[in-house]
Amino acid sequence: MSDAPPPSRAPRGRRGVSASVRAWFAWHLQSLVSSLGDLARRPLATVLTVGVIAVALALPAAGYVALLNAKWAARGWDGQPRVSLFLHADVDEAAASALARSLQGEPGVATVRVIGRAAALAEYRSMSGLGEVADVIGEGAVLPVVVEVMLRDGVPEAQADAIATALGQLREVEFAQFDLQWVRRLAALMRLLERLGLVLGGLVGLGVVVVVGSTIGLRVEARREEIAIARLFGGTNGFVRRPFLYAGLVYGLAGGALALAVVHGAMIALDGPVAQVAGLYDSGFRLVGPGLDGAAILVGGGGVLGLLGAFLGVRRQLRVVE
Amino acid sequence: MIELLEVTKRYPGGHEALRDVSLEVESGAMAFLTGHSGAGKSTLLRLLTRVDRPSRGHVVVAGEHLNRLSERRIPYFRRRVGVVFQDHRLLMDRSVFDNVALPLVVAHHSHHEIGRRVRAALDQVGLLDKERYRPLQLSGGEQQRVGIARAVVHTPAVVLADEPTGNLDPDLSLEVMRLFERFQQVGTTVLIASHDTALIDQMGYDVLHLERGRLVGVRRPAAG
Ligand SMILES: Nc1ncnc2c1ncn2[C@@H]1O[C@H](COP(=O)(O)OP(=O)(O)OP(=O)(O)O)[C@@H](O)[C@H]1O
Ligand SMILES: [Mg+2]
Repeated sequence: MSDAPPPSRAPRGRRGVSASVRAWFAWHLQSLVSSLGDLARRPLATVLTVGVIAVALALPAAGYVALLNAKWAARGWDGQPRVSLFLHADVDEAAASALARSLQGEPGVATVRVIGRAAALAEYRSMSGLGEVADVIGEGAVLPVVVEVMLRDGVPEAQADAIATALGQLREVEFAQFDLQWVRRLAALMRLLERLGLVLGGLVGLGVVVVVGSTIGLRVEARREEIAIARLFGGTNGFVRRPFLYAGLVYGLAGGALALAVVHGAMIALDGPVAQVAGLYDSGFRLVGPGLDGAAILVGGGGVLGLLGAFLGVRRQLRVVE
Repeated sequence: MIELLEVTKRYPGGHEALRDVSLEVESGAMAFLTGHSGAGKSTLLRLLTRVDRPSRGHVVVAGEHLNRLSERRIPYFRRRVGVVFQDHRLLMDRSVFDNVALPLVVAHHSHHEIGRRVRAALDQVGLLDKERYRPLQLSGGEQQRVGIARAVVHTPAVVLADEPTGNLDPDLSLEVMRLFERFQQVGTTVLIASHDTALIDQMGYDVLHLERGRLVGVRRPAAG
């Protein structure tokens, strides 16, 4: 689709490189302006096409932002995997500290902390709504000393499981509780959503390509006489295609920009209610947007899809016209 | 220069529109192609612009052997040829100026150059004051002249015209022929398909006579 004349017999004359670059640039600018004018001449069709692209792109973009926010909100809890060792009642805090020290250097272990009887009771009490229960327990029952073992970040699950099992078999330990289950579930859920988003994004991308391709195909069809005449007077394939490619690019970029506006609009609408909910949970959480790179990917991706759609649409339709 | 060597054109249906035609129009010369309707005039011109390919034989136009011309080079070959169509083939939603500018635009001429050359061509066909009109706002003869301006605006080596006077009254027809004569006088090779024998006789150039796809005669103008 290059429009440069073949090397032989190219009458380039005395024009220098910079002059021909300038001419090339002016020529592209002219093509762009002419295809913009073309789009403006059929405002309804253009607005409809851009709208369809925008809605299509806004769906995965909104999903992506939602996932981003879910991850952000979950950051508070999804920390390291933790094994809580509830010791036998006859193990005192000194023995527990000795055990903690011995565990400190074990592979896969990050930190070890002893939670004494008093601390355990205080922690228990601080959990909202359980204060009264704790008060009652505190009177008579004896809470066990707990040794909390934080495993290293990124320890593979199988190894974490093995460590937890080994810890549970220690002499001092009544039972070991491995607190990873829900974190795993959450992580798995996020991964699933992420994958789902990718699939949805792929489908939407395909849809945008098809929409732009068929729209451009119709425009090629409507201008087939013009194309035939341009060819008769020496128009190359590149010359014939270029305005349509620009139109596709403009469709995609405009659709991406509009999708971005839609996502931002939705965020503005949700910001207040989200802040309210977060406030009720004593959290300073606020919605985060797609960010500058997210915005660039959305608009740029729209442009690439539009260009691809136009390329395929023009190629297909020109074959039909021939 | 235009040269056909033993050219046969058979259309997909099996109809032979041209049969074993050999002819030559010398560089810088002017000639007419004549014959009844269906004789193969338009078919021959389509071979010369490489819109169609011969079933057999060789075609050479402006030094280019069209049989050997690659797809990629076709546009560059066509930029050295100007064509006037039997049915004008103007862009109805573009101005007269834009229509005439097309051969310069596809060849990436500068804005300034395009303006200058288009006005010169329109001036030659007497339509300088109508550059902003749409083709539909023009008479048939004026549309034909827009087509002629477009065919010569890029100073091609060869001009091919298919019934350029088909819709014109005798006076205007003669005027258009004189216009082609002027292009020939500055070195352009001109081949005009026409069945207006009276007009052709009046002009006095070589006449190539086709009959049912065969070249049956080449008539040189009487001396004087
Ligand atoms: N695309 C085509 N497919 C099949 N046959 C064709 C095709 N084009 C032309 N023909 C046939 O070839 C013959 C020559 O046609 P052509 O158009 O060259 O004639 P012409 O001399 O230009 O006639 P006119 O003076 O009416 O324009 C005709 O019999 C026509 O039916
Ligand atoms: Mg004809």
